Amino acid sequence: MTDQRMRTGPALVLGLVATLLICAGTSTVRAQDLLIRGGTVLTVTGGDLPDTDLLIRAGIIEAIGSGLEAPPGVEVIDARGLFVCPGILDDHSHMGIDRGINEGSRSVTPEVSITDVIRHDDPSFVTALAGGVTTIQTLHGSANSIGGECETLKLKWGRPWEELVIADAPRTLKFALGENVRQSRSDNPTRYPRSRSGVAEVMRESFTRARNYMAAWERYEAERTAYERTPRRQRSALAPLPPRRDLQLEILAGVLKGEVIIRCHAYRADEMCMMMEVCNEFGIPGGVFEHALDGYKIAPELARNGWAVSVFADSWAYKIEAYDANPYKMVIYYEEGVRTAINSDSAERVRRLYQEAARACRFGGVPENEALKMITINPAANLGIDHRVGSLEVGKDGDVSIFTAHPIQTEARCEMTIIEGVVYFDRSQIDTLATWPPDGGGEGSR
Amino acid sequence: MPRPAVRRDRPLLCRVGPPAVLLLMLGCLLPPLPAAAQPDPGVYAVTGARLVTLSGAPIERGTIVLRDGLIEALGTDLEPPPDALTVDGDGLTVYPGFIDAFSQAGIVLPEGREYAGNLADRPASEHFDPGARNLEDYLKQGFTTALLVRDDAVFGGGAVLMNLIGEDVSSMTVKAPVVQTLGYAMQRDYPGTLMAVVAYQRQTLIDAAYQDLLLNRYRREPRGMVRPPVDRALEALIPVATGRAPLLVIVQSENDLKRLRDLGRDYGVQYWIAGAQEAWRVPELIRSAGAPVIVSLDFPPIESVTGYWYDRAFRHLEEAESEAFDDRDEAAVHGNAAAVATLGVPLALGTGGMRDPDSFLENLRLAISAGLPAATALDALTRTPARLFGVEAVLGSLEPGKIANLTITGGGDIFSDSEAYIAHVFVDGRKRSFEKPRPRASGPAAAGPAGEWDLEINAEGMTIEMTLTLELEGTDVTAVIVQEGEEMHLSGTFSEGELSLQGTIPDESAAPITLTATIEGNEMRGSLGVAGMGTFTLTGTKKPGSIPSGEGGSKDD
Repeated sequence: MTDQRMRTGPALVLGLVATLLICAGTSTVRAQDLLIRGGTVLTVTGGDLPDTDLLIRAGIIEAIGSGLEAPPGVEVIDARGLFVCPGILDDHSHMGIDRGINEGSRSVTPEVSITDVIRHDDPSFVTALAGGVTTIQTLHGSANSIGGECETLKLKWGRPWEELVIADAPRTLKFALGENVRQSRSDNPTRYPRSRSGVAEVMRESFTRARNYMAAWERYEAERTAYERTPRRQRSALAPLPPRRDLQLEILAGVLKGEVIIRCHAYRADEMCMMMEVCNEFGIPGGVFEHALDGYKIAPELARNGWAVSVFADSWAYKIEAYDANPYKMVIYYEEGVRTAINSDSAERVRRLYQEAARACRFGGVPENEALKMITINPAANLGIDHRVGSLEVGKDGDVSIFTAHPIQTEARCEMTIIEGVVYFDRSQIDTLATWPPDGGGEGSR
Repeated sequence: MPRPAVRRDRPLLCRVGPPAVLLLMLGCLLPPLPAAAQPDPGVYAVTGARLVTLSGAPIERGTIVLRDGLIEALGTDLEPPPDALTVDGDGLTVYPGFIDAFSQAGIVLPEGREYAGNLADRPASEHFDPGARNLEDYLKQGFTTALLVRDDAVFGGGAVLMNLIGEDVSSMTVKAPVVQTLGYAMQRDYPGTLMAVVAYQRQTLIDAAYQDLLLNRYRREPRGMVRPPVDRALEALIPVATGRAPLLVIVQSENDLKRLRDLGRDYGVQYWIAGAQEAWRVPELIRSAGAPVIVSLDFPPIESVTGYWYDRAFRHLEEAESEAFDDRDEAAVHGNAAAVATLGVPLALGTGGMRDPDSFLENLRLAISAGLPAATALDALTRTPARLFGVEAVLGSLEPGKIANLTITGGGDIFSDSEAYIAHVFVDGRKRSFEKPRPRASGPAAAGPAGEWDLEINAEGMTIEMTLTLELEGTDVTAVIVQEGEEMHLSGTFSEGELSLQGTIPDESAAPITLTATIEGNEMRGSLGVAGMGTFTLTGTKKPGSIPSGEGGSKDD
């Protein structure tokens, strides 16, 4: 199945990484060269290529074709009989966050950022790697109307947190609608808003404040320019005072400018309609609805307004607002042209996202490659990083997962996971999965 | 193997619900003791001791004279003045008083939890109790002086340098405030998560700098301008926010240190690093920051150290391999101060975060055996913090005219010998002497109920730790429960393995409290009942080396 060279993979790599970290603290990014020979390459965007080689140089895919030669010193992985896929993306996760994912003391907290609290040694990352996942977006919980800024990470286990962050990924901001925001299941609700209309009002108020904030800065900049252009002797007044810098409103202004992507937790179609309406009022482009369980009812409206979705493959009727969810939503979204990602939301489901994607084929017959897109190029596009990851194309990052069968087939198993040419998971090198992760993993594990 | 101090995240008293009430009843309702009346400093002469002056070469057999709280003279050919009380220093070593450069000594926080977002206009000594019971524990570790830093806050107010013997805050204070402080303590209200703490730190620094701008403008030309709000806490941060004064920042992990690096970079904040338990993981960060580091010897458990799982994930480790990893990680934890010492930044030492400073000297010796030079350790407890805190004119070395703070050790070299101990301390010329500790039993604890027990009370899923000391006379038992430094007295009987104790909560409720337990060897199981509150299960373990009182060690002098 795999040759001997494959077996010298990650144990050694991990050992080296650990040693480097211990000896030198942080060190430079390691991007490696790798030739993956003879697999069935599932490019996702350019068809399935049997018996094809894939060459990664300095972490980037340099060539895809047959009979590629390994340059001197480049490690070769024998993938004959195996399926070479893009690294899987999970665009809705809560892994790797230190000390709290919901700043529940207030309903509007866009100023708080996951980037500040990445826990890069979260053992759940290893579980995700074992399922072929190379990139996640880790988000705030859904307790707040506006929860805070999210972060997109590559799961470079053993590396310092700065190296996990995809620096050129667009900024994303978590919003939420529904039961959690209203604290409807709380015995002791403490804050506004308590109703769906209240949530709408909070959104409008927040965007209005941000619009006024932008206007205040524009006014100030104009006054300052005029002041500075006035010759010194002719200046009558003091220099204009700048407005107070407000970190909440700064990122909301980014949303208004279309620079920050909205990631909005939503279950019910009516709430999604409300959110789209509010965004349209403020000229905010469509973002991504998280879960969108009964959004299939408004799939044409989602497509028309430029919204994408990131869904659970199933999870229907587990609470009131999930009642109308059903597993045919993926095919409906697909047929209506709504870009759809399938997410895990969990440190457990993350290790079998490819089986979650298979549900899209089982329920309603989404084509295999389209289902595969839902865990690769679609979440990449949702995150605005599809120019780098999500498919196997020359010039893209060398992020690869290698499976024993087509990942949509039930017998598929991930054998190896590679990020930018570095092997981070190699099944042949692990001793035990049975007792892992040590803390049971999962969203509530810390 | 000595057990390193283990940090708990936050005081038990901070938690909510009935267990907290129980705790309050058990721990907090004792009226605070008035500070023990302190003898006048008077005149002392310590004779025939080795004097490690740090202002020149050590004096092998010298005399040091203290008068009215100051060092009067020291030297070899020095006759004790006729009015001096003489302390025989034969076999003892005199050091400048040790400074705990990052400490919560004697800070008794109010019941419940105070919101501690920005306390910059308040000194950390606000909740310092000169009669706090734990001060004795700090003195026993050789500390004469401590930089008090609140660790329950974000902006924790001014750190205060405090001498540890005295009657009241005003006379004990050496310098206040020394430096503004910052932590990552999450609050019950906003900021309630780490990420919000970071956002709050940023916005507060922005606001302080903005307040500076507004106040300056308003002083110049108030007309035509909305008057700035009065905000003392914010204004106290203006020197920090405008880069004119340093900020002492409490950090522990690798990523805490990086958060601090980024805060300094983005907001122009100068900082001192306090705690810094994972400084060894980011030496380049420390070196390029060039910031003073006050290393806490509150060693974290290795399982909580960043990267613990790197070598352990998906691995079936043979016992020897597993132990080798554990040893390596423990060596790194112990070697933290040694690692910082090589980076060319000022190094001081402290107890910050330790719930109980008793293990400080033990941990110091572990740090030294992991590579921290003893001379550096001594500097880190004396000269370096004195200089950092701007009090080198009065502390940090033994010189005439300086404050009479001495740490006097016996039984060997305090930096290497586990038998060595603190024999006396002088603080502002006031003497406190300690018995030579009993040798620690390495074997199992002495059998029988008498002695010290570690108790764990399970109250609705929450574990509360306390110590129980039992004294027996026949079948009569007197007992003291200590929790969070507070005592409660009980009495009762012990017969046929059954312990039964009664008492009342020492507050106006006078709620009856009963403790019943079965003792087998060094294990205890039973329950603790508080009238009106319920009954909680209890387990106890006899402390190793705990022997019945009355057979204690002898005083060395």
